[in-house]
Amino acid sequence: MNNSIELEGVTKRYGSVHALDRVDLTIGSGITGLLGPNGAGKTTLLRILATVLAPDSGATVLLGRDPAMSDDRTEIRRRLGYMPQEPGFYRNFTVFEFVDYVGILKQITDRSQRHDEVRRVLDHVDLTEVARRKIKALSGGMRRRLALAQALLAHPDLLLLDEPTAGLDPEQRLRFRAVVSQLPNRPVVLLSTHQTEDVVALCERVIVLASGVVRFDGTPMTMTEAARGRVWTATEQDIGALLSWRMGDGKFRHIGDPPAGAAQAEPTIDDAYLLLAGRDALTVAS
Amino acid sequence: MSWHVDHELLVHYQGGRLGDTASFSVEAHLVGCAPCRRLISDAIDPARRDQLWAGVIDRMDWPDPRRAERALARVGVPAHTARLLATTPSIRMPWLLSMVTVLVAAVVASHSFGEGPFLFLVVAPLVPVAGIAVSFGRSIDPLYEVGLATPTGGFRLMLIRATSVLVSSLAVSMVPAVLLTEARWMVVWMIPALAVTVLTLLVSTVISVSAAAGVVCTLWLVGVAMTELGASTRYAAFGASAQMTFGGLALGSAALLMIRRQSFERVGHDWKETG
Ligand SMILES: Nc1ncnc2c1ncn2[C@@H]1O[C@H](COP(=O)(O)OP(=O)(O)O)[C@@H](O)[C@H]1O
Ligand SMILES: [Mg+2]
Repeated sequence: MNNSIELEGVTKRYGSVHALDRVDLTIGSGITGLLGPNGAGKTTLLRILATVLAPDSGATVLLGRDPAMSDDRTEIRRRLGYMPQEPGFYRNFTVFEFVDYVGILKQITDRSQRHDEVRRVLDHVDLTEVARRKIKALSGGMRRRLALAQALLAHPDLLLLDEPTAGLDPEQRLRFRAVVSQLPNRPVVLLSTHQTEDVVALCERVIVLASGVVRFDGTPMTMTEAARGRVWTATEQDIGALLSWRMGDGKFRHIGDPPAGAAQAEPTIDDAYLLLAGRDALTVAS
Repeated sequence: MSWHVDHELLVHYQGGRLGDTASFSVEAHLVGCAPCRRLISDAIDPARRDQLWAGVIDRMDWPDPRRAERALARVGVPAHTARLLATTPSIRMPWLLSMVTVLVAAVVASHSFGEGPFLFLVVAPLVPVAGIAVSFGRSIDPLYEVGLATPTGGFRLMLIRATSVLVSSLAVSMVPAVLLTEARWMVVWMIPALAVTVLTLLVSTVISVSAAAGVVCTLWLVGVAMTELGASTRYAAFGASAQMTFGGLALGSAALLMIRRQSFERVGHDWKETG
């Protein structure tokens, strides 16, 4: 069975905006992070991979099948788990009813098999205790976990998570990482985020997307290296730098071209992100 | 808890001779009471116990299926399809009641203006159209995007919901229809209702569902008015030749809908970013 996704020249425009501009990617099993600022095209890309949006042009092969063909698309959807950026809920459903309903949509028709599966995913995201509670009574963090639970139904081979850690507190974030890193069968996992910590903590591979273009594709470690030689410390503020700020020790850290009298500093992944994504990254980082 | 399961109750429970309510309260008690669980376990053989216990857990997790679902199950609809049918927003009680109110008002108004069943006939076909507008689609269903990404997908779910809307609208319209004196008025709105409903679905492949419903309502009202004004006899819009036309419209729209079904599988051109 072919567990990978391949994109070639994928383009999607909204009016004059290029949400995606000739994206070429091949992604295999394991956890890949899609890092980019707001408006980078992350959601557009994940929607195309989730077969709910058709690109304007370019070729897409998901799990060895073509999402433009109706039979292939259904086959892809059988093996897909998708957590949209803003998942909706039927607020009057209980937690159990909700996941069960998605199980029906996923065509797990045998009732007891489906209920076992619902219990399994609820247990996996630690929501067993609130299984009978109505969704409208859940906290924001619990709803995120519920959205994740439905995506995990039936052990998908392709798991797409759109900003799954947004709005989670640090403890919930750690728990999320534990859940995603312990999935059996090594599915293709693609998660979007604008947080470099998620990528470092979780991802074997990171793709930086900005303005619809892939700016970097590699491991988090090589991404950090991309900033070597472009991060500096000095005693003076530098107005010519891409970004420059005063650190706790009173010195200034600059990203960009070296100012006069500056010393080269050890780069971090944040520095690299800023250099790759450009000023857009600041709108989220600040 | 102030009571425990005694021997007599246990014998009845095991034999399945307690009613639903009593069984359920025994089961609820068992979940919280270890001594009684042991009592039960000791009294029955392990295989039967596991089976009973699985049943208890199942019912605790999953409260009674809704009444509509149970009714559907009784007439042979598979349970999972029944759930999809029963989650259609427009078959909720408040919606159905408001539709009955509108229709009864139409009958009463029509009679008091000396118009016979006319207003009822005009309004009844719009009930399923309104039901469609609130039952599925990009801006209505909070689970729209999640649903699209499943093998059930957009078109199948739409068909299931549309069926649910049609059947419930038919049932709702029968309430005021029986108030009408002549039997033929009880049925002549049905083919037009089917036609405008399928037409709404077809139009929703190019504009949003709610806009499609608006367009079709307008077309219907204008069409009826023109027909009545242009005809020498009353009720021409519901006469034999009009019924043929509506039948043809329903079939034609259904055929085009099948051709256009792929458009239900992708988020549409009217898809708005929510955040
Ligand atoms: N339905 C839409 N209509 C118009 N513009 C859109 C739509 N969806 C996305 N865009 C635009 O496409 C670009 C990429 O958006 P998106 O994929 O949501 O980025 P991200 O998820 O990285 O924030 C943005 O400029 C956004 O405004
Ligand atoms: Mg997004």
